[in-house]
Amino acid sequence: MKGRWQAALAAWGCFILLVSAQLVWAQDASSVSKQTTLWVDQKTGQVFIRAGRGRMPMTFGASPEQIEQEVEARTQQRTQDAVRAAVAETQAQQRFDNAQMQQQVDRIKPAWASYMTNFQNKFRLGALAYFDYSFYTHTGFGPQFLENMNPPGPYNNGYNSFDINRVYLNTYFTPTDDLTFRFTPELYRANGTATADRTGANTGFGSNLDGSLNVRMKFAYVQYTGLTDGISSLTGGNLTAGAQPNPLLGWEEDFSQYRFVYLSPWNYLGLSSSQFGLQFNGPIKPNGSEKTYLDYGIGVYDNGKFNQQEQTDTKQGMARLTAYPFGSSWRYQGLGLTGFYNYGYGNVAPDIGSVPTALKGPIAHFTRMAGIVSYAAQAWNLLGEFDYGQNAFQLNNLYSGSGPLDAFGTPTGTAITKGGWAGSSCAPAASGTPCYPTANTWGPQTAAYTALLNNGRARELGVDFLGHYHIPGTKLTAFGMFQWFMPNDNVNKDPLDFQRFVAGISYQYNEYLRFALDSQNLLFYHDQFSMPVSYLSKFGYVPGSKLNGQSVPKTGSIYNLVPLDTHAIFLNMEFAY
Amino acid sequence: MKTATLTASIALFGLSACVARNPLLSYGPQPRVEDCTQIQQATPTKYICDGKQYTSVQLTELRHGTVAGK
Repeated sequence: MKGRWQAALAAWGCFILLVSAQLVWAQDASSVSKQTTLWVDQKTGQVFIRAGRGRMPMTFGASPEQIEQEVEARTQQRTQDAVRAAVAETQAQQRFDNAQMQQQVDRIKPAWASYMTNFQNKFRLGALAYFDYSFYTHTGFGPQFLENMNPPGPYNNGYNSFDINRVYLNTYFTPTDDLTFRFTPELYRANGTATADRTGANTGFGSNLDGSLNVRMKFAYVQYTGLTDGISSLTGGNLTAGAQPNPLLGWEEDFSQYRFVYLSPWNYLGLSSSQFGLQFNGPIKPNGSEKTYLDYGIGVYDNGKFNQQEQTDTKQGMARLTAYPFGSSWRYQGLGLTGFYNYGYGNVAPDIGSVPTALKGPIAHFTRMAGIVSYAAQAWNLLGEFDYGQNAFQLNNLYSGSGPLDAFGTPTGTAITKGGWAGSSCAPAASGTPCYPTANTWGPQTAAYTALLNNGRARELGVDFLGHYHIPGTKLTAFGMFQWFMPNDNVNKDPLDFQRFVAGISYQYNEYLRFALDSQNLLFYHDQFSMPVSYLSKFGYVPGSKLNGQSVPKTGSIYNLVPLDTHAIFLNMEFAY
Repeated sequence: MKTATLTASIALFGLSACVARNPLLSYGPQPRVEDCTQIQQATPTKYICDGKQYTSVQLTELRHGTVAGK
């Protein structure tokens, strides 16, 4: 009962408190701006609500002016803060924008830089150089072992020299993915006597043409690779126009991998590695296969070589077809069967070439054929080749390295100038015709060789083997090449039948540098013998005719027809980039 | 005396082989150019190593460790 009364009393108290409370609005200006002034007696310190003597007013609260000033000050402060913040933000943004701008500026490349970058991607420059040191234990006449090599002939044993066989500067320009331009100048040895120049009435200066290493064009062509890209089996076919490698030699040199040491068989015999013409090459991968089953090269070219002026009204053709019966995963891989055919004509002008003659000699047609069986693995390869030719190896090929003076217009030996010899009457040049002597000369032999090689009916046969084997775990590779060649198998016993063999070991220093130590040999393997003039006459030899102003034998035989052998030790170096 | 000299020479040669790397032997990261077969002497030269094609430049980069294998 007592609790109820207490609760009722508390509720009543709360009601009275709520009713009696005065409402005060938060923004009531009167309550904010109202000032209260009291007066303080300065003596007693008493506070009064009215003014009086000795009382000093004491005011509480702010005046409207003060409030206005305060508000204005605060507003100004806030404004300044906002402005400062805005300025700071603007400055930060400015700094950010500047940084971005700088990055963009940094990224912007000048036009020339863009051009150079493009140029770099489309332009390649490579170098290829073959150097060697050769020591000839036995010197002899014959084809050159490598380019720019013209060692002296017989009786110069011990001759040795440092040589530059090849220097290429390969330049490739590829404006589009399917178009390539190549230009390759090469170094070559200029041989041949040049006459001195003269100026004025009494002044002359010597020629510097003979023996110099000059620069000439070796390859210059444009190659288009998109011709057969629409046919899946023929993808990779290319059309090449200009001075270019022929279908056989480039293929065979890449197979052998030792072009810096020796020439491939037909190259040694005179087939040039560069011809002017039009050629089509490519692989055949039937049914979208990853493997190559056929590889071909076919073209038409000038009869003259890249370093000769074309003179004919005909052209020569070449074709190579390689079949990989089991497919080839990479170039040359596995078993390969290759056929090569070349048919052309001697490089003479039509007004000479069209003259009917019994033996056309150097103006006759020529044929080169090769049947090749090859096998290539990563560590070794082997190639066997059978060669057949017609008029494809003539006197200038036999003496591409060096030959007797008689083959180049100057007689050797002491001429016989009186009496009779070998069926001819001999006399001094002033009053008649001297005769070639029987010894210490190559004149009659040169006449015989010319008959055997240049009669227009020569038929050549050859067999070749080449290959290499990499010795596992080393930088060494053993390599070799053997060539057996019969320059005219129509001759019962041809003194010019020869064998060439190269054997050596190579050292791969790095990706760009390779060395080889090897032995190179040319053997005219028949025992020495003579050949009757009557037999030579069947091949176009004219008994008693003139050679270099002297009579060659009219009767009897020509002696010592088998040339001397050549043996040499080579140290070769290859730089390729 | 000659035998002793010969033996010492052989021993010295063998010892030197232990100290210095034999330049005739193949070494370094694979593939190495000496173990590859050249398929085209071009710019750059092309090789086949373990069935894959590389250029001489790529093999150099692999030897120097400046690029991952192809």
